[in-house]
Amino acid sequence: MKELAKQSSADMRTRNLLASTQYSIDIITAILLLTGQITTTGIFFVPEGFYLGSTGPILGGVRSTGQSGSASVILDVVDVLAAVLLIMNVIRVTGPYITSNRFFLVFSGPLFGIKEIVNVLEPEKGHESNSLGLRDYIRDAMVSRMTKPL
Amino acid sequence: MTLHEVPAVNPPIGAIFFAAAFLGLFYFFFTKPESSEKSIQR
Repeated sequence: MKELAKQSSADMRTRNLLASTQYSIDIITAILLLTGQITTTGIFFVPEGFYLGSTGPILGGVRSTGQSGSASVILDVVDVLAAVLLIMNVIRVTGPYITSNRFFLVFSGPLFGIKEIVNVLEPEKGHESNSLGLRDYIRDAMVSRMTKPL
Repeated sequence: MTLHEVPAVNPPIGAIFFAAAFLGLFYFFFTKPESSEKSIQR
């Protein structure tokens, strides 16, 4: 029992470390956006929503700027909004998009229509007994299908 | 709410579509890569 408690505590520590690492990536991205080191430069469409991509010289890319003064203002507003949403955890950095000599930080969230957002595993989701339960359920379903054909 | 939880936000699909269309058109037509001329010392 003591061993189990110790293991559970270690799992919790690892998870907290992973969760805080992931959150710090969001915060660092927000800081880079607010300080103008990176700017949002494009958008990725998917069937259920969209992702925003950002890059800048610090990531090997080129900052974006508006073709007119008002477009630059809109671009700045989008950057600041994205940074605030990142800090509020409404959107999250979902991963990098890597291309020649540069990469983009890509972020999205339920606000942009992406429901299945990247997150550190919850304890119960990665628990062994749950995956065993799922395996049993699938096996039972397959066996019943084979023994009782429709 | 812990820090790593994502708040439940459920905007209507029309709003998402409008935002996506606006941002897509905006980035395509109204932005350009920043020129590096400013940093060149002559």
